[in-house]
Amino acid sequence: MTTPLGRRLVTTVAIFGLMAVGAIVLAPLVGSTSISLGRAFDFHVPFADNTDAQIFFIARLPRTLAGALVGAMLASAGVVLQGLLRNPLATPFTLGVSAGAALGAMLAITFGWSFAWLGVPAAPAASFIGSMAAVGVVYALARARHRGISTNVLLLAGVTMNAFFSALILFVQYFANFAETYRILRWLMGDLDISSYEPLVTALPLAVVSLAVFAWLARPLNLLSLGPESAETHGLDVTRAQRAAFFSASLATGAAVSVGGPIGFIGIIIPHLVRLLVGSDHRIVLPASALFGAAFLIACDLVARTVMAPIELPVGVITALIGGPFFLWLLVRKR
Amino acid sequence: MQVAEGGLVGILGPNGSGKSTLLRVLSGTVKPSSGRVTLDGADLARQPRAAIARRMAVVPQETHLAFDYTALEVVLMGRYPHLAAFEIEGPEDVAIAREALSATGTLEFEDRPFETLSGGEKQRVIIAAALAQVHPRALDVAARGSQLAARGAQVAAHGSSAEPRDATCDPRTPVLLLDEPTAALDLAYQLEVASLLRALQEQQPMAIVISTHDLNFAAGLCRSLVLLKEGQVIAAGATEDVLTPDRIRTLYGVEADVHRHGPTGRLVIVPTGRSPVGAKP
Repeated sequence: MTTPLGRRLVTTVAIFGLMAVGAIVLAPLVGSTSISLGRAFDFHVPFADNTDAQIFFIARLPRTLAGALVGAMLASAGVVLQGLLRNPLATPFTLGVSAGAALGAMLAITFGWSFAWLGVPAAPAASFIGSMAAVGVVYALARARHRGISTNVLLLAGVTMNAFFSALILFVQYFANFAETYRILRWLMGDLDISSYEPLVTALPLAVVSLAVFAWLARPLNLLSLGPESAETHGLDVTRAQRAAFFSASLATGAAVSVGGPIGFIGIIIPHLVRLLVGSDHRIVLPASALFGAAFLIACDLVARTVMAPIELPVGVITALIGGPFFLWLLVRKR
Repeated sequence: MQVAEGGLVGILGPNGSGKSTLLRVLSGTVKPSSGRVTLDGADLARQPRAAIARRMAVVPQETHLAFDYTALEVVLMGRYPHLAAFEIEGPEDVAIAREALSATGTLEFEDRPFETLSGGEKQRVIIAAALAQVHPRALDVAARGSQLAARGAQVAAHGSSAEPRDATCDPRTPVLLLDEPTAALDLAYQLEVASLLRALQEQQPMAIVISTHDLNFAAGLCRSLVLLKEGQVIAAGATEDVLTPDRIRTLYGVEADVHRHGPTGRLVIVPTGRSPVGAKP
């Protein structure tokens, strides 16, 4: 007989949690200057004199934490979008949701918007609105087609959305000055090159709210796998669940993109591997994907900043190099 | 129409006659444009989704899962309306699910991925999920007491003019709605589903409504029938009274012999050809 869910959940979270924590602690130690964990955490030396601690806490830890946050958000948003649209190929990136979020964030950055919306600063808020717009279109498509969205429609919609938002992004870029353009280009490739905690702190509220909604959504997403009508006769308020999924996936994507730009393929690689390992129950898939996504993106970023050192590649290059072939393999394998 | 405890009502009619729509209205997923549906005498539209689901389960024609779940996981999804927001299925729920699997002869598949099962096996697992869904928790049963034991359950659809009858019911009697459950199955699996439903009725009285294309399947299984054509009920009542050559001609435009099969004593319908054009219904 199968192991009870509670125990499976604890084991899975422990294993993937260990991976994530390990990645967060170890990744900052690796880089062009090697530092030691012992010296970084040696609090007898004043912080101002402790270069190891400075490199660890100021130069590398924010970037690692950004990797953790973005990886967790994109992977779990992928799980939720896949559940919502009943298609394992749906991801924030391929659906154009990341591009929508990127457009929002770019508008805020380029035009120097400085408003705060419900306490959320302009960049993540605009990024969230951009992803909402994109998910809204996809969701409307899925609603119009009663039996869930077919892979063909899904991919075509994604291509269209990506092209549409890319055009707008290029258009907005005209308004940026030359120096900004280079920075924006790097960010648009998906880059975690941050050296302060500020973007993390501003994205955190969105991330926390979306994680809370994800926790509630796990079981409704299981039922939605049966199809909306069966989910309803099983006692689920389908419209409410779909709206919650739509909203929280947008929040998570908005938070991730406002920090790291539209980093691709995390939302498909991670959920897919996790399902192979732990089955399809969303109550396990969701936390496992968030933790594994965090560890995976930190590892990718580590490769990105060491493989051609001292040149640091945008991490989006690495994830796309892994994710592109992976996505094609999934397409071929899917009857 | 009215379905009481122990009732097994078949809905027959040609394509597009409204069989599935009628089932959707009965299950509450589609609101009736006129009239109303009552469960235990109370309007379905006023009951919360989860409360309805604890009493009434629907078996669709086919089930395709978006992701791979094991048979046991699919059946455990039936326990959803019994759990609180963040509650995990407990040992009682697992026991109920496994009992349902064994009642439908599918316990051996519990750890198999659902999508690897054959059509008939899938349908039996889905019926198991329906059984698990309408299975009350021990606590709920105790709380409701035994004074209700003698009463019968009832699901009823009322036309716009009809007043709902004063129905008393046992809130433990499950209601199963099956929408052409055998349409995608071959003969052996059709028989399997029919005998399963009959056996389930014997074990525990339920109110079952089943829509089907198959006249012989309906005649062999259902005690009473509702005949639908173009959204209208053209006849309803005991199977022997309703299923006549005249009605079959009206329904499908087909000539048919209806007679009793010696060994089983069941009604058998043999279509003999299309009715001549312009034949009087």
